[in-house]
Amino acid sequence: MRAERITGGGVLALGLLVFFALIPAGVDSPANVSHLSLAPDFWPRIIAAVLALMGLFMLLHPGRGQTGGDSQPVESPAARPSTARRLLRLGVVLAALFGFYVLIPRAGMVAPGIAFIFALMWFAGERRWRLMAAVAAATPLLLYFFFTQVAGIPIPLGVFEALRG
Amino acid sequence: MLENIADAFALFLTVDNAFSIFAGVVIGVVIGAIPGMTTPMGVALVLPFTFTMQPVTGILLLLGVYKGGLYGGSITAILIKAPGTPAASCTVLDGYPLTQQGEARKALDMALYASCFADFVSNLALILLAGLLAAFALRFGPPEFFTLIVFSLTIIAGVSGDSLVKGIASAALGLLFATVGLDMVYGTNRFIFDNWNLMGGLSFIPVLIGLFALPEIIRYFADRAAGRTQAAVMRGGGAGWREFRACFKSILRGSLIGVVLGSIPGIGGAPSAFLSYGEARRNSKRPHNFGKGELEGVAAAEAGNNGVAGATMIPLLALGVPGDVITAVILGAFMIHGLRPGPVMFADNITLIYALFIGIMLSSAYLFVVGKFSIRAISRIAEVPNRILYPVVLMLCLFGAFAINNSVFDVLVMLLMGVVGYLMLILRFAAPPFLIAFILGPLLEDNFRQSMILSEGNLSILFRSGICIVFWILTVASLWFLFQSRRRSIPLGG
Repeated sequence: MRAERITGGGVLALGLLVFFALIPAGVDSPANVSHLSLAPDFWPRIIAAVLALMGLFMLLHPGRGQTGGDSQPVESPAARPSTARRLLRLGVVLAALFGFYVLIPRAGMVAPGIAFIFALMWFAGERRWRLMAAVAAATPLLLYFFFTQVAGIPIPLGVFEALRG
Repeated sequence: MLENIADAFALFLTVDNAFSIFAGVVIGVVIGAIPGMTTPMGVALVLPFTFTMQPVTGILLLLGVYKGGLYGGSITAILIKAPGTPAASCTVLDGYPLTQQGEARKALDMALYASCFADFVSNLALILLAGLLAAFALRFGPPEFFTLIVFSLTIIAGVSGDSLVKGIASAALGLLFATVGLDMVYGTNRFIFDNWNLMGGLSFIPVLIGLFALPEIIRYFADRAAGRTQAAVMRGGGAGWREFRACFKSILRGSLIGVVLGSIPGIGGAPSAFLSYGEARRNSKRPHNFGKGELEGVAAAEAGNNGVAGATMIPLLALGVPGDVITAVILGAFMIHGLRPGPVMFADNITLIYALFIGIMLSSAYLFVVGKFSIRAISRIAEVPNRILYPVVLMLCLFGAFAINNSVFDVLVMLLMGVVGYLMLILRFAAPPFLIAFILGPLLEDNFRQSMILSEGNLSILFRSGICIVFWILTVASLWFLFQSRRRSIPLGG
């Protein structure tokens, strides 16, 4: 119930933030709008209001409207690492993903891709080094070949651009 | 007429024609199955090769790519939760849970059967009802579109998981994300914040991949405990006649929905897939199982998606109006060969039209053969251990997100949507309402505002025709049914 209230508070805050801060700052509405329903901010305001109302409902009536159905797979607590360990692992994965994105303009997609796959396989517990090396090298290279040669889509190589034949 | 058909057979029966449509289907299935490669992209890539071909051969090649691409999008949707096309995102809802339960083969088989059947029905409608459906389609204006989309959105209540309130909040978030970009009436900025990458709005595919494929992978890496083994994703057998018969009503209904919506220019496969899915759920004896691995859900989504394939050719051939991007490219192919689709072509080039019809019918059979073969080959992906598969899938998603628009920004969009999707996953917000609202949101808003422009702000235009009133009645009836279901505490999938 407490978690549900916090989530509801978060959704309410998000709705209010969009309504009172993001829409005035991010939606330009011309002065000569002929009808209210045609204004560029009409639709976003309705959506933000619905979002805030849903948050308010969750805050005031936590758990109400729930059917008890569970769409998430249930795992035994023993199968899950501790919260601190999970947060650490989550941080590592997100750092790897956003690190890859930051590297694209500098090193392209292929070289960081090889390191990225190899590191993630190791992180996930794979220890067959030759298999890891083969998969890590083959995947970005095959994707590079497919997109550049077959689909005609240039894939960035960054500092390795000189290698492009 | 018989003489024309005989001439058409003579025109069609060449090795080149038979091979080109087969090659088109193969190319389409492969392209559709790769996240980041869209069917319009595939058709556009193949277009230059048709310049030197005979008109029938070239157009059949493009049609093959189109039909193959529609089916191919479902393969990765089922196996790795990364839909290759927006329309295939509906297939994810039950396809991926089936994979998790070890029934990937069954889901892939059912997707193929439903796709081929719907494609066949759609082709028949094209051949037999082109004139009739084209006339009906012309009666759809913005108010009719708006009421149709409102009706399609009622399915959100059915896929909201264990909390309707969270489902509506999730849908509101999807609608909000869909408003990013230039305003279509005044051309002013909406949530662009001086970033020109956002002017065209958020691209569908990076958002879809980020929302569906990434959260599952992030959770795997965050939660992975030593010794945890993955589900035996391929332990179940394939689907056969018994399963097809059990889902037949939904497949037929989805095919007909696809035919009607496909004949209306501008609708596309995604609304058709969601509408078909919603109707299947409403009529099912196991509505609570939808969203958790219901085979009928896969069948309905794919039937709705593929039912549009032949029907989108109706406005093109009968009126010369392309219904979507793909038929616009195909219209270009016609014009390159000096042909102008429309009523005049039926009078002047009826032999060519019949030859195309023969090829289109053959494409359904090819789709079945190619699909069966590809299922055997591609479904082995599901047997790869997650610790190897997930890094490879991540790389595929990253390349795919980039390739859609050659944009590093789209990679960022995908990653951020992955984080949003992960938060939704752990806070138990269902993702399908977000997805449905994100896809249908722009259609809803555009048609509402166009209606308001037409009526100068008078809301009564939304009740102007019989079509509008029928959709309003269906919407109210559908919501009543869904709320009654919830009141009886039937968990509404998700």
